[in-house]
Amino acid sequence: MPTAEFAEPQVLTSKQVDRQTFHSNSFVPARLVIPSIDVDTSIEAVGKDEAGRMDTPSDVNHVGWYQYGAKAGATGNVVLSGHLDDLNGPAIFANLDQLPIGELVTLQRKDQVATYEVVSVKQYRLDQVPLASIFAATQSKRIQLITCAGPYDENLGYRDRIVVTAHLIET
Amino acid sequence: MKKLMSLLGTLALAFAFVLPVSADGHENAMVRVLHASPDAPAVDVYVDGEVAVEGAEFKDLTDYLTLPAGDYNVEIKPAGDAETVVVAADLSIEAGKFYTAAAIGQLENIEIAAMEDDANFEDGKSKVRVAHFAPDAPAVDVAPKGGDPLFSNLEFKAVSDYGTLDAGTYDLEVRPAGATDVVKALDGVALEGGKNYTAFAIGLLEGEPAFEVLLAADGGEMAMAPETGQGGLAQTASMNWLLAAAVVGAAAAGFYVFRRQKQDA
Repeated sequence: MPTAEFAEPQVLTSKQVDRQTFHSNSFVPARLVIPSIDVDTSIEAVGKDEAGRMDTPSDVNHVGWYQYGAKAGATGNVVLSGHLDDLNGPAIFANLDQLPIGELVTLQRKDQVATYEVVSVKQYRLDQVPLASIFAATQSKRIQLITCAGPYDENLGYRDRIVVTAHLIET
Repeated sequence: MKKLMSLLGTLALAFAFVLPVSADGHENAMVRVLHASPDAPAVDVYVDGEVAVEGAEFKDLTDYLTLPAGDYNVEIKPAGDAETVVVAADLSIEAGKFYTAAAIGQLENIEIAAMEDDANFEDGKSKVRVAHFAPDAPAVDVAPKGGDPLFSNLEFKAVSDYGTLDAGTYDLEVRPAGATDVVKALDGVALEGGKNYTAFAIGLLEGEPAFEVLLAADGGEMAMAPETGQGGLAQTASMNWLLAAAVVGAAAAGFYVFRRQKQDA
């Protein structure tokens, strides 16, 4: 289990930014595939819950796609939330913290595919999650995968969040 | 001098009974930085004396950084050189708002232009504005191909108001103000509904780096982190991590922790 650490704000280098972001070849993702941790599941569009948090999918073995964020393949943050566990045991993102740097994350809809490469896996205290890096606009083309981590309390829930960031490599 | 805890990710507060204050965008402001000076070198950006962005080159637009609302002194220094201040400005930022701070102009006249970014989104519509940050370009109009201008007579350093367009794909032109010849054609500009954009015109008409238009989505629909666990995998049941953290933190900082004591009546 990675120890908690605090991320630096991401600084984009010239190489990482697509200058001509006029054209959009993007799609609403329907499936998430991460072969290295045996994830192959459906995606549900989600908004915010009544407390203003990004919502989660109704099925603990699906993942939620933030409908106010970027579409697959687009410039911006594609944000996906998935459960670490349910009441009884592991759920879809139980092994998200094991995802190695450099492994692939694929979003699909019918014959459209967007492939991303993992660049970081970080764990944060809940109140230190870099929300602007995850939810605000960015010139980068990337995906953010979020689940719970750390110690659990019956009233407060999980203390931490894991955030995996992956950059688009091809559409 | 305020401590920039969220920005630099320093250690958590060591006060008693720390409540998990989520950075939901309502206590914090979001600020991004654009390097739009054609002849300035790569720069580091300092906020209240601490480095926030390193090695930003011409055309780099950073991610939004989270800063507690308030007043800040922003300094731009050559990358790796903490002694030289290229340009500085004071910035006042309000909670829940988004801002862009741009370094503009040739190095000899460089300044910081700060603007608020619109994060009020409309389904099916895109709000767009144009920022003229190209020092040697004349005043310009921005128009659909062959059509009447959407934005007129924008001079260097001007940022237009947002105009609202239906979501869609547009062929646009940048023209000298009042003229029909085309300085720059922008074909296939895809504007998504529920998003707002700034088109930054940067670079030089005469010389390098060449004039171009950088299109950026503005702001975002902020949310707090999702609740993605129900405890089925938890090792220890019912560990009050909040109190544990407060006790550890308080002990480390030497603060006195008040504990509620049972009063036997």
